[in-house]
Amino acid sequence: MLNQILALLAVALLLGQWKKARATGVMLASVAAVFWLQPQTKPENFTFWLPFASLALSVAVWFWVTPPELRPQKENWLAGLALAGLLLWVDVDRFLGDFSIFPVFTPRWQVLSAAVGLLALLLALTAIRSGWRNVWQQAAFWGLLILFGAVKLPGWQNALVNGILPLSGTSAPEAPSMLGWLGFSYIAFRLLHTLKDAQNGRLPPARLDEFVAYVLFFPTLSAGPIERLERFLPQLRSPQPLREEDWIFALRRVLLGLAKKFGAANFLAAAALNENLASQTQSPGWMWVFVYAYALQIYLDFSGYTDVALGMARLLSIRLPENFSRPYLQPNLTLFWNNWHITLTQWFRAYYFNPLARTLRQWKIAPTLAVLLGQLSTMLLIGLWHGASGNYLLWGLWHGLGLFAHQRWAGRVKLPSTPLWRGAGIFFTFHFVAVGWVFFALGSPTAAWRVLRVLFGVPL
Amino acid sequence: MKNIRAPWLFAKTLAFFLLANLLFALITPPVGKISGYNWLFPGRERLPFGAGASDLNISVDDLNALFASHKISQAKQPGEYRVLLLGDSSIWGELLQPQETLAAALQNSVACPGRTLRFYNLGYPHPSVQKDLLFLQEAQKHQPDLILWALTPFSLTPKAPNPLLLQNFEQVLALTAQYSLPYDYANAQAPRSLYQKSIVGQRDSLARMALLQALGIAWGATGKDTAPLTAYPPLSPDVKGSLAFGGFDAPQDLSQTFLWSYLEAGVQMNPHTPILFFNEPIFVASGKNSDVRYNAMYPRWAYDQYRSLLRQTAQTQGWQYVDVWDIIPPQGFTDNPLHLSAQGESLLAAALQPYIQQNACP
Repeated sequence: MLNQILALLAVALLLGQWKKARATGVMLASVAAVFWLQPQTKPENFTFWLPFASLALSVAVWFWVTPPELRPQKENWLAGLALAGLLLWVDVDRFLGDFSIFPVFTPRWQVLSAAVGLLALLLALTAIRSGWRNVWQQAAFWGLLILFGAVKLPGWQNALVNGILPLSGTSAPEAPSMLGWLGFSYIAFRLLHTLKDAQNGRLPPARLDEFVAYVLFFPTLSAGPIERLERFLPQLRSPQPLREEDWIFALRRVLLGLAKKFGAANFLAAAALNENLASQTQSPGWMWVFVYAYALQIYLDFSGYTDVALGMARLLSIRLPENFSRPYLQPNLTLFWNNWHITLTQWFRAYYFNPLARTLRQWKIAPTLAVLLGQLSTMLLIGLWHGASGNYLLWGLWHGLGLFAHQRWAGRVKLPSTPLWRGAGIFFTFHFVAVGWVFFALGSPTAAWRVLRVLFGVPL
Repeated sequence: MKNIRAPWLFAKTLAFFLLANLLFALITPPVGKISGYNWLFPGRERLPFGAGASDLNISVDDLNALFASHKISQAKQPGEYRVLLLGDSSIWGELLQPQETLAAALQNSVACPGRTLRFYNLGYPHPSVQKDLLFLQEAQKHQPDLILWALTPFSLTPKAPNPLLLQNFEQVLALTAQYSLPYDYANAQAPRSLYQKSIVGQRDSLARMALLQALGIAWGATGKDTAPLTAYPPLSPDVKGSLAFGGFDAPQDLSQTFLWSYLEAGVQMNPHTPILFFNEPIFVASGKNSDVRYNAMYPRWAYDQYRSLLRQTAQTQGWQYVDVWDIIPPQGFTDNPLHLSAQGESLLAAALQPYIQQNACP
């Protein structure tokens, strides 16, 4: 993994100096990274079809969000050709022996051509009636949500895989593993954002290369942050020359990120709460150590990736938004969520919580109930975003109730703003979040319940 | 911020990185000695070996780190009589928890009036007397009083160098030179280059040593260094009809095959510490082709010859030697003709008890 990060850093350094056809360069590097970084999965040919699907979804959504008169620009045809060339390269890569780059199980060229042809046909059909653009956008929005559910829900996922297997050239039945679809959670949320903003007329027009570069932007592929297109485009189009502080920022964040991820998080993982340790530990003291280690590990791991992404993007003159801002030093849960995975929280606020709150107001639901419904359902959805299972739902429920409780409490009680109260708030908030990680870390509610009893000294 | 010049900063960072690596390679600091075991968390019952964090254990190749994590690195207590166990995965206790190994079984069953016997598991899942001798040399620092050395035909035959021996290449070379041992690694690998000794060159080893420290927390909390035993296929009473053993396809004279000189070196190294060699128990198949092979590992021709040669050598050299090759019934084995179950280990401990007491109990 370290080697992959270093290679991507080298690519970012190189592309950062590239002045001409910059968006095309970033797009090609990003698409190549999607294929290159895709983890092994079963069935094996999905190592090709999953990245291909990421690319196909990006192209399709671009087609549907772009006004028809802007699609046939020369730059878009060139970008399409460049993408076709890259796909061809990925497909023939297996013949390159020692020079082979992409560890993917590539299909026969006839199958690939048929897949590309099908995509082109679908797009052409949807282009026949330009007045239906909004219908296609709506269909794509809901289709993406259903696909997201299918990827996250194990039962749906098996149905999806088994349904696709015969189409993908795999005749022998295989036991599908959980799909390790690289970056899909982030890709889907970027696409949903563009579809929604296009429907509302707020999306700036983007060329094909710009749009694909945005959706599959390689520094943010695996762990975000979720940038917005309107912030990303101007930086891609008119990059500011790198100044001294940009170089220093990039160096500092990359080194910091690598140290967090490889120098701390990987080691904390050995002492972080997991199924094995949870089932074998009776002592509350040790159990708290495991929970603390997990809380630190997940923060260092996730924020470490983000640091590297921010540093890498800066080499390309792109300033990504921060995703973490001292979340464990916040004095209440609302502030914690304003500083933890910031871009995801903002996404949900913009596209779910605020519209829901408006709807509930229109329905004249009692304010307290509206707040409860809004916060609970938002946090349940954020839980489901991580994975469709009971433990993530419980984690979402824990935080949803916590946010509601804090909202009610903060409305009634005004605490003095002394360092002591602030310290107490930080302590309480951190422990609330840390206990919540128990649900997140363990696969089953039963295991989580056992850990909670040990933590609080309740006899088993 | 404005006063910092980026090229200068990059140059300084690079220079510091290179200098740190160069110094590390030149000094080769004994990083493995830095350990939280035996003070922050308890010393391990056996040497670390395993796959990684999810397995509660990890393999490290640095000899200092191996021993620093083991409870043998604790100071010897007054009145303590230290018994060290050397051997392969069977002695280490593959598929067993640390409380179920031979060392633990001996600890529970063997006692001497007026002496506190402590048994230390220095087994390691690599069957090699070269590795055993290296461990024995390292163990000298910890004042052993008696050494139990488990032997098998495989541990006594030359092997390709494994990572543990290569990582401690200088010590291995010194040992082979000091005792004029017939097999060395002179041609296997040139002395490590500066790059190999640098932080970058040693990054994997350093990372695993750090992970070993982090795993000390899990060890301290659970007392387990391996995941609970999962199901394994039972050993079949039937074996293949092959006569193959090591590199031989048919019966041969094996008198020049085994590395007796390593055992001799061990005895010379410990002139005042008794060593009790014992031939490890093996699974004896009773089904198809059992007239040709004892089990999947050993054809009868080779194993019988090995036993005979070992007995003769021990007699000639005047070594203490016990042959317990067939004392464990088939149900006392787990997944491998050498790996014992907890019950098997208890039976073996009972068989060795009188020999240990002869040495340990005044």
